[in-house]
Amino acid sequence: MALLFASFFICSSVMAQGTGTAIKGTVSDGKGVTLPGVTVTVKDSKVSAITNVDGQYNIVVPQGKTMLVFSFIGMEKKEVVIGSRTTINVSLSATSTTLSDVVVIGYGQQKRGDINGAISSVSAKEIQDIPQPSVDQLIQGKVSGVTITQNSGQPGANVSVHLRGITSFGSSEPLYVVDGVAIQGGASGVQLTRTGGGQEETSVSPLTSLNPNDIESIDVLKDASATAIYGSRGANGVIIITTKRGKSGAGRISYDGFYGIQQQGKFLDMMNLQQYANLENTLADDFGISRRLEFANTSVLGPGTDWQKAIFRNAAEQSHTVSFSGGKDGTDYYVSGGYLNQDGTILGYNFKRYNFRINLNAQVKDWFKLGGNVNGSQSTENIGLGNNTGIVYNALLSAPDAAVYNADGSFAGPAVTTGGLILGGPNAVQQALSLTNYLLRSNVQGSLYGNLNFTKDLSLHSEIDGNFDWSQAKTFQPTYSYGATGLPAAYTNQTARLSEYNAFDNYWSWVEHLNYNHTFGKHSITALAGHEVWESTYGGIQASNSGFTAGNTIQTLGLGTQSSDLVSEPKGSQVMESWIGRVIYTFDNKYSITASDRSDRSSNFYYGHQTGYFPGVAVSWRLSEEPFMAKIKSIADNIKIRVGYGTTGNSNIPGYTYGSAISPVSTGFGTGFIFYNYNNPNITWETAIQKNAGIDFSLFNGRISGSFDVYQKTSKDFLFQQPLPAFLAGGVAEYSGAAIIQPPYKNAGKIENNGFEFSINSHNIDSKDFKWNTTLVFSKYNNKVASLNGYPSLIGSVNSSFINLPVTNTVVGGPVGEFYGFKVQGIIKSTSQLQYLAAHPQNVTGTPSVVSSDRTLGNGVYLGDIQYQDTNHDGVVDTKDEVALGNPNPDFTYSITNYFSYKDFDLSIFLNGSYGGKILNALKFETEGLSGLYQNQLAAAANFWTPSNPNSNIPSPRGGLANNNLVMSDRFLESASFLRIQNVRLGYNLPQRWAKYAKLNHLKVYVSGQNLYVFTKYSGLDPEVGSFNQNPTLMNVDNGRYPIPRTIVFGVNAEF
Amino acid sequence: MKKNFKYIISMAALAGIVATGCKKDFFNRPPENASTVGTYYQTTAQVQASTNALYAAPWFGYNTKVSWAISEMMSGNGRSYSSDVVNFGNFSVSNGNFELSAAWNSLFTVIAQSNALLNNLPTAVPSSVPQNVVNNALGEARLMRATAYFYLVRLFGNVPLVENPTALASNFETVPTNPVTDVYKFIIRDLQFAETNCTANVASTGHVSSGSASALLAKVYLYMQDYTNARKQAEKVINSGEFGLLGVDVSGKSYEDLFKIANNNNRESIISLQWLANAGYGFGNGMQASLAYSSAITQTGDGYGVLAPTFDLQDAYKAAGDTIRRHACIMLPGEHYPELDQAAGGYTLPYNASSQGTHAQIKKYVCGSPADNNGASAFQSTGQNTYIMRYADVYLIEAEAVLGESANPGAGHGLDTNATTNDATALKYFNLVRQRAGLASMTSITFRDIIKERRLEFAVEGDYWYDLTRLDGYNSSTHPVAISIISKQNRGDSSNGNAPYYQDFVRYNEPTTPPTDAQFLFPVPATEAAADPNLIKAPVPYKF
Repeated sequence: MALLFASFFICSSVMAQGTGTAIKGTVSDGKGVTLPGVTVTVKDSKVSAITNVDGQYNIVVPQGKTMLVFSFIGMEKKEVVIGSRTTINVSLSATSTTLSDVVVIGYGQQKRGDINGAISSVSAKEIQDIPQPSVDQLIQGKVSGVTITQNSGQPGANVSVHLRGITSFGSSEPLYVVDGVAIQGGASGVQLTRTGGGQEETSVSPLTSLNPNDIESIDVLKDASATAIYGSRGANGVIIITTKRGKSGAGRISYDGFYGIQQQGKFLDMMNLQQYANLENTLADDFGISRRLEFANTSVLGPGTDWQKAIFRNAAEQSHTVSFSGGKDGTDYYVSGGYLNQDGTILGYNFKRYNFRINLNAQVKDWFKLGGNVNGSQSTENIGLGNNTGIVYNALLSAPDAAVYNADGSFAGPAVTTGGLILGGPNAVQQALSLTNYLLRSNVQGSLYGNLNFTKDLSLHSEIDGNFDWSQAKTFQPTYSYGATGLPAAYTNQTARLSEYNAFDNYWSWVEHLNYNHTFGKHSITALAGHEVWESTYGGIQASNSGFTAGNTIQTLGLGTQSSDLVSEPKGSQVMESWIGRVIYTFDNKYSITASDRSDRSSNFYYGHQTGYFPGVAVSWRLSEEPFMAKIKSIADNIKIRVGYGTTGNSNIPGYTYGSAISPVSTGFGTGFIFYNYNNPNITWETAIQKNAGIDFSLFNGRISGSFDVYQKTSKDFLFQQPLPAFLAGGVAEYSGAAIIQPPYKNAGKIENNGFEFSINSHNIDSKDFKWNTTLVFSKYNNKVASLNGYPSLIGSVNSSFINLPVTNTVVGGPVGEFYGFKVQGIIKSTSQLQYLAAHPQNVTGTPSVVSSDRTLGNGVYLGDIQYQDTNHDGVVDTKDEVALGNPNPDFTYSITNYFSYKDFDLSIFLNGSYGGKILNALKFETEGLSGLYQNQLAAAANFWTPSNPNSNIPSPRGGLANNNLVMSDRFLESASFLRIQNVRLGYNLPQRWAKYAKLNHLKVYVSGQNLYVFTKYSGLDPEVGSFNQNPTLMNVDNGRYPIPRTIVFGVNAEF
Repeated sequence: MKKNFKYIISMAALAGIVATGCKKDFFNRPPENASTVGTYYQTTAQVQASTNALYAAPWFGYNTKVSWAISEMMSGNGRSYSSDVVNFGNFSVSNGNFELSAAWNSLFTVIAQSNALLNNLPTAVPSSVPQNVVNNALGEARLMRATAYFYLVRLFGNVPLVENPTALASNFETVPTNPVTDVYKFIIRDLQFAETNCTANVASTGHVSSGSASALLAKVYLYMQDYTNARKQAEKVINSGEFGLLGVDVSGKSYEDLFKIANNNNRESIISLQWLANAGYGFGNGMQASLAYSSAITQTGDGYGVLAPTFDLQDAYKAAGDTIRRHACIMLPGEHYPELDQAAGGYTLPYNASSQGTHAQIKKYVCGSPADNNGASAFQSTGQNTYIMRYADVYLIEAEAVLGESANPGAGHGLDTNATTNDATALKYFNLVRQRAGLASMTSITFRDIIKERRLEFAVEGDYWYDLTRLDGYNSSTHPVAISIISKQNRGDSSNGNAPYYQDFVRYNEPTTPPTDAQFLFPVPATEAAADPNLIKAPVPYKF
């Protein structure tokens, strides 16, 4: 076919002459099947024709025109020089998104049409012009079977990526392979330092070092038959990222850039000053405390400070990438440099990245090919104050009677009584702006490979990969003193503190594999045998100092008081060695089988338990190639059925859990030693078994294409840290867990994920000027714990803001991280209810309630309090009445992308949604708790129950946290369903004839809007909550996380 | 040649694989920043240092806030509006309370670390380490375990007794609690072991000695109303001469000097926690952050004045004419402390200081800024030892034991409020404590006198609530006497005051809602009861 194609060019030396020439011909596909309905146009004219049922066309070419253009859905557009011919037969090849496209399958490539496993791909085109700094964020909604949740809207924050549900109690994040370099998706040794607050996200995304503009394609290996080749590292799926490389021909210079604005889309309706003052008065009466004099007449008060407006801002974002690429004489190159600067929509946050990439490939000899790539990046993350129970939380609870700034521009603070009682929390803006908290990360990753061809069929691939991370985390708490003008300072610090953590993480691997490819007759065989070894070493120096007498400006350890310095040095390493084998056999392009096996030996286990074997097998049958399908070939042009089975493993636990470590701690005696962990010498591989059946189809000449997969994924002997109760191992107290004995890691139980997923791509309209494509992606999984090896349940607890409550309970038969607690019966409104409660006391706080109108009585219940359901009907409400309240996992997730193009304009609208699932709005324990003075509350909370407001379902105020009304109950659960207008892009491609004046091959300008609107019933800031520090038992627990901003950018793609 | 060259390279590569593929050592990756059970405990010095950690980090969560929230706020010594601890002041602590969990978790962390040492040390230590060194370490660990259980049994009543956590780990959800009487028996067994095996006369190093165990035994027997043994143990300690009262047995010092970092591990110190100020959060004494009136005292940004003395406590000092101990325990407006903010010539509490509405602030465990303490003070962290027990306690135990022997209420019966003694021994030790406080000697004493004395001597040191809980007898389920005392306390706040020095404030004598009998013990934290439902069921006798 290529020869045929080339011959047209060779023959086209003579120009067409005269007034209009009649040309005819036949259009067919690569296999000679004629194509009806193909549009044939004369280039740069309005003349066009369409092929008839036999694929034939007739067209009259006006004088002076020299080219015909053939276009058809699912086929590459082809331009043909007419020359002197009058009959032009053309064959069109399928477009690159379909069968002939190459898919990276791990240690090799395969044509999409030949794939036996469940693999989805995303091309550069699908993710371009989306203003997201990180790759994992870009594939959200693009691939079926992948659930991606942004854990935070904070620039540079990590993302939860789950392929086909939650498979493990450890990290369920997939393995990323960037040009051969493996990057584990779980949080690495690199961490942000804590700044305060109870529960903070400290993990960072390992993928932020990569510039999305450098990406050529992303292949997602979903089922185990595909990932088994990665053995233990592929248990949670594998995402293979391939970066761009130079193409043969003239060199190209490209520029991609955008500039835009991000803003917070939603604000909570908190009380204004008048409402707040009314509430404070009511609470004071209720708690038996005198009212504040300044709130004597609330009607004269103004609106007060809106603390949300004070911490949120409109923030700029910009990104620029310049790349140079080309190829000649067997050598190709791609060189790029990028810059990204994203300010946070919350004060004090910023993310900045510089990076460069060099990709180089050279055919040195006909038997030897060499190549390599290097990616270098440096990023800086600034954090104002941690997010969970941090800055957003503080701002929401800040009293509206406190100002942000005093008249002289200094930070204001809450009022202080003459006695020294501070009537409010710290100034959130001061916290965000004065604290230095940043993470500087430098990363170099690269690989070098050589390919030796022994014979036409046999070759050896040798590769060395490296990924080197250096990071510097720094927190500086300056000296400060602030308060309202004329009042004593509310908050003062005379001793500045600095802590730094300089860490490194070095990873190298060495891979050797022999490849054999042979085709004879209808048989085709591809085989691979290989060996891989890698080592990961991490370490760092942690140091802190305080008392910086030289002031706040120069923040360096040496300037602190020398008697207060402190150092420690975390470090460790891990190695793995693997043997790999794979055979792919295909017969007659119809029947294919892939079989692979891998052995892994990991240093995370003790001798005798170190090696695991992970086989996989998959078969496919291309039904559409069978003779009996010939009749419907014109309708169903490709149908392929795939069935796969595979096992993968997981060794993703800390090192040396098979032994007991003794680690140093500081004491007044000097260094002391604590017992660090309970060991388990028998700890070994977690195994995931996955069965998959799928169908790929293409209908009506590619007008509709798609694939559908069903699967069952079972993890057994899964690795998890047995959550021992505190009475056996100690527990975190006052946020310190320094002396807890880490519970042992165990192989325990079984988790099942059953699900199905499909993606459908439809070319709805495909006329000359107007095109409309729709892509629908749908994923559904059911997550179920099949066994916990005798453990009754796993508890997930919220441990913050003075509440320490179990909120999730994972039991056999239920999903991971299921919410658990009491069910609200209703507000106690009548004396008959009180009489009932006097005879049937409820015990939700550990002490049976007593009916009493004294609201200071700790275990009292009275009118306006909550009555809980006696779910087991035993006449009392106690812990036995706690029941499963809801599943944080969605019923299904979906996305719809509509793509329109009209002449030089294109428009894409990408909607992303999630249906079902629950969120625990844990923030409401505080913002609707009505339990303490000097804290602002949701405006809706003012509508609490009183005898004169009998229809409210908000209980009356009750002093102190974790009271009868503030236990874990369905009161705090809300629907997590949402539909988000994730991205809308409008682009304009400058016509070629204009572009070439500027020496441009191509110029596109666009406007792209990200997260434009969210349709949801969720009352918090954002229904996409993710899992806290990637912990699956604390999924969808909203503690005041950083919400995802709305972003609008203007961008340019240009190529010279 | 070309072909051969290719094969040579590839064979070399394959040979390399085979050569590296097999080394066993490559897969041996022990921790690089920690020792292991197999490599530590090998020398005498290592065994001696093995108990260091039991005096600090595990106790942090208990020491920082909840210890005083329980002992002072529940007992009526202190009050607070602060929402994190307010529930302790009005007896409304629920099982989801963050601070309650801190108490449970921290005390069980002490037990877990003690058990780890007890279970690992004997098998890991080589014969080259002298047996008495090993035994001393084991004794220290058992004393620490007993101390933690002594708190737990007084806070929660029935609790699970844990000696071998790994054996219980596999079915932790069915571990029962053990009855209070068994917990006391367990404590006594541990302390007797410690008494036998710990080295004598070493308490001045900060490590507990055999005498420390004897002293704590005396206190435990006193709680059990076993007055004979309490007296025996107290006298054993007194006769040993290891300990002395600052300002009485140790001249040149005073009551106030007990609470200065420079005097850590003084002769009065029997058992104390050993904090390091500059080791970061979790390793220092965090009390000053909450107790100090303002950051002008701490100069490290903390000093929140969360706890303040009640009028009830202020009145108790006033009624006793006790100014020495009052000054060391409570700051009054306008009062001067030269040891605080030394750079400015000392600190004077502002006239309007009234962070919790009672026009007074806490002084005990407030030790000042980094500059005041040669650097041994930092944000939420000072180097001030926390007393678990000091020698004055032994004198008062001796006095009470003597009275108890003669009054003989019997274990489980309330202390007889009419019983009095004029026994010379009892009076001697009782009056030594009063003498240091500058108070007149008494000629006869009742239980009430002793409890009152204990309150003034140990206010803000974590004792008074426990004294109230034992007034109605060992392991009693009813607390009529304690309830009556609490219901008469003035725990209220007051107006601000306007006149110069703000002393024209008006007290609001808010009626105190006393606890119910059930509220003398805390509920098991909800997270723990969820993990092990047996914790909230009836206790099961412990198999000793």
